[in-house]
Amino acid sequence: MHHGGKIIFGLVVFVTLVTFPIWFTGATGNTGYVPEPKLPAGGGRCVESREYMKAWHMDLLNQWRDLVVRNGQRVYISKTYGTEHPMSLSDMTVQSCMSCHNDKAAFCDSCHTYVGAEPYCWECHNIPTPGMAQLQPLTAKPPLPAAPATDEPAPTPATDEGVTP
Amino acid sequence: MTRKPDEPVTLDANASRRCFLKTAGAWTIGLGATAPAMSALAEALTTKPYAEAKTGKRWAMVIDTRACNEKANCDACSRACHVSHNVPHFDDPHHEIKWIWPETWKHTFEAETHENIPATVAARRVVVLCNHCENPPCVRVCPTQATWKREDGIVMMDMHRCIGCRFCVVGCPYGSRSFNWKDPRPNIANLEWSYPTRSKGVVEKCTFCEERLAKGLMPACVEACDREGNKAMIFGDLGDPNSKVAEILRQSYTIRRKASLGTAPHVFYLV
Repeated sequence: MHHGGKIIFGLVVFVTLVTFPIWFTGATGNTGYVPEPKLPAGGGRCVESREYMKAWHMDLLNQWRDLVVRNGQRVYISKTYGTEHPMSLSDMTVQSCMSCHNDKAAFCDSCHTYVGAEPYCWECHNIPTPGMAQLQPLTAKPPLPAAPATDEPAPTPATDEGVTP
Repeated sequence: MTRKPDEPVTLDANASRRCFLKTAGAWTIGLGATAPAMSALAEALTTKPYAEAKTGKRWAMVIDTRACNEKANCDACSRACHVSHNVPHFDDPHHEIKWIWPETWKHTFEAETHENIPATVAARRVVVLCNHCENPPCVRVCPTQATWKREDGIVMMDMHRCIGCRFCVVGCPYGSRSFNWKDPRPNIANLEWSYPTRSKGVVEKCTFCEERLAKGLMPACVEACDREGNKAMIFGDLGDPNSKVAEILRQSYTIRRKASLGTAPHVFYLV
């Protein structure tokens, strides 16, 4: 083998650099890191179950977007709970995503940064400041849909879903 | 496996190709069948509009140019619109974004006017906005269907789908469309939290406040004009013969901008 030593040395350097994220994380003891998105204070539940939202929120939001903008639909009827929810990401006058999850950095970003996802929602949709009240005073007649019928399951308490990861 | 040059192609070689194609076909069908099940989009979602939504067969607007000019330099409508829709302000006219704005009579009704009309009329300022045409040229030229005409006549914009090609800006004969040459956010004085801004590289225009109609509210400009006491803007459903707009159009002579182009604008002006 011509220049065997140089080649092997080069390979060692290459492998070391390529595997840098793995051994560096191992060496600094962060191997068990799991992002913990901060859920809104006061508990409650989301429009669907936690597992569903974890897996499918991006698909749900994509479909909401088209339903609202292109089809003029505004109210979502939950598959799991049968309750009605405004289909809005950032309208602070209704019970939208950001009305509850009003701390984007602690909720959205904690996972998105971890997995390297960069949704471009925020190029246009406004990010509420964490100090902002959960619901802004309504500037108009409250467009919230009517309360669910009494035979529907009541919103689960904070301890049931949505607090412990 | 080697084959002598003069040896005929055996069935075996063909069989393995068939086998490969069959397997590939089976995989394609199999993957195609399972793909929908892998997405939450497989099931249709149950949705509905807000209970208090205003619905119409054909939204239209009448602007009374007499009442509009009672207060000199009134800009309540455009201010209300631009504030509620986060329309940025740029000093450089090349970057200007506008949804609704006052124009001179001559500029508005170039084809409908002449030099001998009463001076009082020629001096009027006219509020102009998207005409929500029955036959909108902007929709015809949009390559992505980012702008389209809704069933109720509103020419809508889907900012998510706009690629910023600006065909619509060229197609619109009324100059109703503005392009975001720059990031608008630094130039929005008071952010309306509940309405999104736009990003650099999309076209925007008046949408007859479809987001307010969906909540049962009148368009912001109409509301502001009423609040000022001018009541120069009348908005309603032209498909309903009992609506105020239908009544006005029946009783009074109204004009439209560049009607000869065949776009059938649905913003009517009372002279």
